[in-house]
Amino acid sequence: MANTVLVRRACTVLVSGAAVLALSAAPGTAAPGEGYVRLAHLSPDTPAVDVYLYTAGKKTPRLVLRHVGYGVLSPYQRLGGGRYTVAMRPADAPASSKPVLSTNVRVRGGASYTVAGMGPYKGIKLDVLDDTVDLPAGRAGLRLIAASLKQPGLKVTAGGTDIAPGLRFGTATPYREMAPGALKVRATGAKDAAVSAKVALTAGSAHTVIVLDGPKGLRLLDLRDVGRGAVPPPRGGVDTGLGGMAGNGSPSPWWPAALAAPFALAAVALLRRRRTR
Amino acid sequence: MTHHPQKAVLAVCALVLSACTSQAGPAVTPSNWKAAPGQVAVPSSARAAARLDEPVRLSIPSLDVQTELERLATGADGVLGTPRDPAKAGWYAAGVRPGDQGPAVIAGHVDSRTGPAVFARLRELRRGAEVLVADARGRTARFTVDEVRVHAKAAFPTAEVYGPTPDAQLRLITCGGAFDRARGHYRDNVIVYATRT
Repeated sequence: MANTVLVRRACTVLVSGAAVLALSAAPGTAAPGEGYVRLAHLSPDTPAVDVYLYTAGKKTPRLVLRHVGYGVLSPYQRLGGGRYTVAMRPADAPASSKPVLSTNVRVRGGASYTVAGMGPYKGIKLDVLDDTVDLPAGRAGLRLIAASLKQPGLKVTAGGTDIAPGLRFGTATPYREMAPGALKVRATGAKDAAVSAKVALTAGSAHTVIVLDGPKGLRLLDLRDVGRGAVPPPRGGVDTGLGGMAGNGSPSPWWPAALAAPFALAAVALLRRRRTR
Repeated sequence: MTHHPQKAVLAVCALVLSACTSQAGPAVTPSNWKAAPGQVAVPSSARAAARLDEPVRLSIPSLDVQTELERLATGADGVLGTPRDPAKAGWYAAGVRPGDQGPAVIAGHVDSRTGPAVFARLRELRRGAEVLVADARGRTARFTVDEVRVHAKAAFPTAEVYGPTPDAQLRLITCGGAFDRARGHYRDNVIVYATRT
């Protein structure tokens, strides 16, 4: 009897260890303490770069994006909370060469960021924009980034309302809280240079609209940021079981979570020794 | 525990070195690295993934699961309700629609009062398995399993399950762990995390 209890306890510890291991190595989902970072090249007269992302203090990059040209943004990357370094080198420059730009990013759990090369070639800087927006229920967020060299001074309206009357090249506005709806966003420069686009703002969503130099004048790029959920989440777990398969007091079935194999194998060995069949 | 002072010193040196090397090294600049006025941002040709209507059907080929979907809602207590029919899974209709940005949530019973139910074998899913969700017009969103986790209901990971994501994701939820006969419920939730592919 004592043996059974000991084995059961050991199994519980091993299984719990397995759950913790799976949690900390989640590949596709953001566990608590993780955030999102995307990388952007928004300097109109800077040539294409290779973008490197390092965990702070490490020599080997965890991510390299090659030949990132003006107007290109990466998808959001999921990262554990902590400190990172973003470096930009000329496209095809050796990884050991001095970057043209470098900055540190501190990723807070549950937050999201855009790290963007902004401004003109002479004076380009890497800005870390906080994409985390705390919106009231039922509202949306809208932010603008001016990245056009040909029209360095812009006036921007949304749904006919001035939202950025004097937007300077190489700057980003904070998020502006908006009512949900489909709005026409219009950016105007000097001498009737203008561009507009329809932006669908749903409740809980956050958008970044970037004004760029395009092939035929100004161009608008509408990005959906991480935002926040549209409704408060349900409380607690889900009671999706009625007991038809429950044994009479048998131990919790274990599962081989892919990354917890060593723990799982040890648990199997212990269970096998215990079972009489 | 044995003390390794030499190892600690080496580790510190490595840290300092790596912090330096990311900035040091020969200043090699490709010959074409200079201001490039007149560059334009070309619109991306990537097509946005098709948006589905509300989901009506779920299939998990590797588990031989095919089910119509009920609509689930939270009760007055804020807790997510479950399908009335153990043979059917249900979609949390106030949350994210499958295929849209964020986490869509589909829950199904692991068992009925007498035997296995629609998600009886959910915890057998592995990374890479395919999950398909269809709307009434027959349009399908395909998701690929990232991983399967089990959590005690008492410590349900609400932020991970329902928190916003920049891409279209899916969570499949059922029960697991020990059955608490006094309460009439299983102790744990089995949660499958998948991303639209």
